[in-house]
Amino acid sequence: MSEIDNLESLSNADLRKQCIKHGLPNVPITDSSRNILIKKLRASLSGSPASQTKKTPRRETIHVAKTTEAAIETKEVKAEPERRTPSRGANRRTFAGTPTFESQKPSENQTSENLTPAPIGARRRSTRDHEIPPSQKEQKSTKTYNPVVILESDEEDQDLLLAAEQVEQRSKSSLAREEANVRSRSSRSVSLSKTGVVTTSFNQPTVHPIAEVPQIPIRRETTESISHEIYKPQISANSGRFSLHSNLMQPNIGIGLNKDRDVPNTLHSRYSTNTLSSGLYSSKATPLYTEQSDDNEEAEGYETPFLSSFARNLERIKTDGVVLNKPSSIGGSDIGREYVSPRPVQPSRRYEISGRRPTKVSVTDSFRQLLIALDRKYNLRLYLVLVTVFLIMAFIFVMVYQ
Amino acid sequence: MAGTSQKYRNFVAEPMGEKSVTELAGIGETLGGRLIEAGFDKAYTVLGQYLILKKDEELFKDWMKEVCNASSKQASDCYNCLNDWCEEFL
Repeated sequence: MSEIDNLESLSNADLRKQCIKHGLPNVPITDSSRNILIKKLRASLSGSPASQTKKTPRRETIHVAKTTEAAIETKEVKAEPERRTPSRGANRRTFAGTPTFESQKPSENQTSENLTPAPIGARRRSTRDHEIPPSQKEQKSTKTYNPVVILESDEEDQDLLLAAEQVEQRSKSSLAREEANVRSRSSRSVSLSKTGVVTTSFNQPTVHPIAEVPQIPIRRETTESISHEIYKPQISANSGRFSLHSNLMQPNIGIGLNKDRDVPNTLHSRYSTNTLSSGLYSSKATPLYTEQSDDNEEAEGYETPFLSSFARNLERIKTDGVVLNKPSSIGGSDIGREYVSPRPVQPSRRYEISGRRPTKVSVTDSFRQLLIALDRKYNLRLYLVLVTVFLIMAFIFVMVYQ
Repeated sequence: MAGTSQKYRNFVAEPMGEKSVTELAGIGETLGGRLIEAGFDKAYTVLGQYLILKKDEELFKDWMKEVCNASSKQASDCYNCLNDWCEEFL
């Protein structure tokens, strides 16, 4: 106890010596820092030096928290593919774009060896840590971007990352084959390639920062190519889904988009595709890529989960009058064109919408009519003419006799 | 990283200049008031303390807790804010 009392009365220099002696960081003692250093010193004197200056980077701790989350997700993901084995083909196709990950993979593996537990989360962290350090500024920039995404689709993100990596491993050797599959998978191939081009051009400018979501080793220079390539899979996936749906329901675009948008909806959409029995995996996998378009495509948030895809469509159509459903005969299902083509395709809607406008505009009309009526009844025009004449006369009078 | 606040982003985005303490992430009116009472009226004074403590996370957070009764979250928000600002501008 006497020692503790001593601490209070020690001079700054002595206190600092004490600190150093007891293994505390060599920190200048100032009036402002004195108190906490005394506290620290007491803590270390009383016996738990373990608590001193653990230099764990803040990010690491946060990611550790994430890994637990990821672990939970892992179970989920692992459970799902078992259920979905019949739809393997869909899986494959959805991830036809995995080469983008592939290229980064060696480094991922290499780094993940360092951290044994919690495969995915650790890997993600490690990739970050290893890849990014070259320049702190880059790290900074990625950090500021990430939150946006993680807030909205953290869960999904992890979920999908896992899925992506699974498929990645599975399809590592057979990438070329998969590409071929995609190409040869029915007559869609032409429109597919088209969609690839169109959509990337459509999405790319806005998507850049968010394309870093998947936590692929993030680097500014690479993101460009990544976002490019990432989008191809997205499209192929979407189109696959579209074609699946389009047999059953016409207003399919609504589904495709909504699904990718609202995080809470993914569950529902997953189920709805379950009933369709073939789009299983794609519905799950695509958000990995398409979620990146959350921000730029989704002006208005679809927060509320809809009970059915139909309801969602309805909502979609209501809220977004311009983006209309397009007959599936037109070039398949490209998202990029979806926004462009509907206008010529369904002009009737446009008229319908614009037809409402005139009712608003007619306020001025009615006002004019009122004026005309008043004019008729009270000869307003006459008075107006009289007043103006009088004013002119007065003006002239003033000018002349001034 | 569980997302950053607008305040954090604003602060880290530019040199702090003469910003007041309350511009620091995690420091609102209340804590700001306490800090100002303790003499830390500008963000750079807090930065100075942070630097005096040699950017030590634990020490700084403890200091925050002591000097203005910050919660752990507030302290770590502030720490992150300053830390990242330093990475960017120091």
